[in-house]
Amino acid sequence: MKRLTILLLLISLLVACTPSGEPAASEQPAAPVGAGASEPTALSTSIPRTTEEDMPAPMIQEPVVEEGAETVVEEPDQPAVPPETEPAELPASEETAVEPVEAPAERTGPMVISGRQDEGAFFLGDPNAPVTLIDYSDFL
Amino acid sequence: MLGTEPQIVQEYVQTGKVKVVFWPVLNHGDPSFYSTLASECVGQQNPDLFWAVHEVLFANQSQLWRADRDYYVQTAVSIGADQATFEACYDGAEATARVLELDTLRRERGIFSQPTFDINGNVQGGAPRFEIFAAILDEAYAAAIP
Repeated sequence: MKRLTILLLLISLLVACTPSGEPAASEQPAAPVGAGASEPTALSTSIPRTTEEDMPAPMIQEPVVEEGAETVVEEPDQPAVPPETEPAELPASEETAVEPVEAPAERTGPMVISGRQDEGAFFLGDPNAPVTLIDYSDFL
Repeated sequence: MLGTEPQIVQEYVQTGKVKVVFWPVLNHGDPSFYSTLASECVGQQNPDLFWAVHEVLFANQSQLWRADRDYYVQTAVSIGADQATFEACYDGAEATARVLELDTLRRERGIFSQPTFDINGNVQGGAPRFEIFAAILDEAYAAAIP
């Protein structure tokens, strides 16, 4: 109790020693007379005024999918793996249309004789050549 | 003999040593018959045309399986045959009889597979390389020339 009394006295002494015309440090300075209420303060001019046009574009955020919500997967226009395709069949007219090729260059030469044997087979070369080579063959 | 024929012609036929005879073997049905019939019909006009179409047909062997009359007419005309004469031959009975007769004769000679080669009576089957042909032809030529 005695200590509390001493503490109160010290506080009263300090208050009595403080000059009465000096404002407290924590108080805001009073506005000057005649100044408009809308005039910006130094603090307000350091922050540029912004409008909607000046605002940066909002960041695109991933949509939040609620748990348990039904999701729809769109099917692509084309399948990822192309289906196996069968070779296109030729039209009937093309199946039979076979283009013959150009005739080859003359191969018999000026000294080679061609003709037909008595049995009917065609020969190439001297009819009296000492060697006869019969080629039994098919064009296929 | 398709691959070796040009060299045989150059080294043996053009030198007068060898005469080459083509004898048809109809072992593949209609395609064999009609291709041989076409060669017969151009050959009737000119034997040189036979050897020309012989080369064309062998060169286009894969097409002959589905070749039709128009194909053979165009082929004949492309090597210089007269179209009307060719068509009359192709559609007539005489050339057909000739082709079938040649096929019958080769059967009677015991030839049943193709290609088969008869070189002065020495019958060889298969398709030998030119070097094999050359050895056989040289031997046959030496034996034929006293």
